[in-house]
Amino acid sequence: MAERSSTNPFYTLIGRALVDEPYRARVIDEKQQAQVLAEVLGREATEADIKALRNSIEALEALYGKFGLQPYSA
Amino acid sequence: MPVAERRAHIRRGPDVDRLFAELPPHLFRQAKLLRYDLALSYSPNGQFEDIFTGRGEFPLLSIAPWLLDDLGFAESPARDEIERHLYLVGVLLAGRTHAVERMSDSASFYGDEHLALVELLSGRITSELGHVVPRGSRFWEEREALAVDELEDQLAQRELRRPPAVADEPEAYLRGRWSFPAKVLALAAHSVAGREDPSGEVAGLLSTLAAAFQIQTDLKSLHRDLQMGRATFVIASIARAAAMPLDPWPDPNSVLGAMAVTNSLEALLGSSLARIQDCRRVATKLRLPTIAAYTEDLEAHMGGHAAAALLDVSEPALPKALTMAEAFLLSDPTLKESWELHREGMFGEAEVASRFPAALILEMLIGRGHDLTGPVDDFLAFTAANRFRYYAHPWSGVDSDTIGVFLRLREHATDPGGHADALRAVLGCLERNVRETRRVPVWLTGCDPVGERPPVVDLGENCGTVAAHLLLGLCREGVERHGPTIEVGAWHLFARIRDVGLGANVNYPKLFALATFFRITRRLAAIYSGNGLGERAEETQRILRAELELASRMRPATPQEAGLLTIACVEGAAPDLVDPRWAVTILKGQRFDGSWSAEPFAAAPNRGNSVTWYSSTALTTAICYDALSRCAPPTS
Repeated sequence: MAERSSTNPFYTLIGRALVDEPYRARVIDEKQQAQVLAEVLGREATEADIKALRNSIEALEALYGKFGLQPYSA
Repeated sequence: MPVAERRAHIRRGPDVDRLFAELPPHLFRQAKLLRYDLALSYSPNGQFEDIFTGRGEFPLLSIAPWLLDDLGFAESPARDEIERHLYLVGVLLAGRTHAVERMSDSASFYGDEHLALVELLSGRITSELGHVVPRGSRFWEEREALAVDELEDQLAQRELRRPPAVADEPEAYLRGRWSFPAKVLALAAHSVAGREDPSGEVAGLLSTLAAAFQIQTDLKSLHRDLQMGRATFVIASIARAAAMPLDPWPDPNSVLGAMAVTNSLEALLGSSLARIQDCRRVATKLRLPTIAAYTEDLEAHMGGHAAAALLDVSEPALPKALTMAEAFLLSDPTLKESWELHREGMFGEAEVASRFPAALILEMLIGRGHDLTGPVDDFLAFTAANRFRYYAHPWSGVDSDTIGVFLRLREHATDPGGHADALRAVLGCLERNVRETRRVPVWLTGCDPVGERPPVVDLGENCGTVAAHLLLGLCREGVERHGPTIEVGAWHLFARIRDVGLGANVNYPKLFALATFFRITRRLAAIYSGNGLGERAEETQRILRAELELASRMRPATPQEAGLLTIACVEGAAPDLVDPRWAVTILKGQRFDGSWSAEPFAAAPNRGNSVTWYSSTALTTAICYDALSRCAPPTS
């Protein structure tokens, strides 16, 4: 596989939240949002960062319900 | 069920059963699994009888009967027979398409050997078509032209999807998987109905319909495609919406996030819907009422997808394979399956075992960071009590390999200084043997009181890999304590490697020996840096490097071979020689319980004074696991 490009950390945060249930819980928990953002941004989150994240929570929630695994058995 | 799907639901299972019933065993096994794969991949309920039914699946098997209806081909026994053959053509085309796609998917369980199945399916497709279309028909020329176009398109797509992803237009990646099979079926239906599709409008309609379904399929596999670095229309569309380059390949999560933030999902579903609407308009214009009714039904239900998962969450193959292998290997702390257990009457006993292979596995697992103190304690206690004999029997010889692995595992025990008296005694015997023979013997003599052991034939003497194993153990104990033994053994081993290369190995797979030789030469080059033995170790490494380069040019045929070659490259400080296809060979061979099937590892006595191969599922699994672990990117 090709080398990974440097990517938008905000997109990466939202994308991970779509497929990682515990992480999603942290992202939507308003008390933890600053910390989650700081982890991906590599700096303290600003008010603007937190606002941008909160603006995307609805999109995240709308899409989250469309991801799933198909259970199976023999 | 929409009225248009009625015919597709006719059960044709027995016809498919008959299609493969007479196959010889290897082809039968491939065909059987393909049938299950088709059911899992293209049926709404996992049942083969229902493949390509339901609104979520392309109606491949309905294309021919719908067209026959719409082209005015009257119901009759002859038509039933035509439909039966075209149903089989549809199934065979689906199977062929699926197999070809999976063969180029590194995470699938399909490999080169499935070329046989693809060949078989191709032949059967022609044969089934021959039952409904006369030899002299123009159909055959037109079908040939379709096939050539399809093959060319496949090659173009293959090139396009190879990193770096270069296409500016997302459309360049949109290739409906079922377009070609549908067009072949439509062509056959036109032919038997005595009609033509002169301007290719029906073919175009089916191509558009296939593209509409492909968008939904690519959405479903988005997570997996991102992990595999496989560009699709969906990925390219999201990247364009987010102004995100695909070269270098983006982090998968960032593309998922971009999809959410840019609301690309709705746009992509809209793109699929627009194509379906286009199909309806064309079908209406062409007076194909059944297909028009079907597309109308699809349109009406496009909004009804919210309840089902539109996108599959995918686990990357490599970490999943590692987790499965770990679970298998750690499920039995004794690793009893790996013991070299003899029931042919060795030493006149009904059952005699050597636990040595389990120690090799423990060493590999510890090397990958597992805490196995308990199993190590058990092995060391057993080995000391058994007085370092290879087999658990008083007539068995004491061997250098057992001493070596004992020494290497010792630091991982609860009490690294334990069993000191037993060890002191056997090391004294070892030192005397090395001093007298000027080499490391495989089997030590004179360790037990005289007369205790009757004459026994010991196999595998003069194995350089056993010597290397012992030297690695002695190095762990300390050069200051074992310097003379190490130096005598090392000089002899290096001289043998210089003289006969990997022929210095007797008892192990050649690539396993190569990795072991790299380990000991690296260790001794560091310990004896600046003196004659250190220089000889470096010279030996150069010889081994040449052997490694030669070996790396051969394509390993089995998972164990691929694993051993990978490990040898890493131990030889040559990760650049590791071919990514070796990991694919390993991954494709993993069983559902996390193990790999046992492969021959060492010669072992068998009944009637014969020798056959020792093999162990656990040992092969440990080798494959070790190799894959070394390929895995570091976890964040």
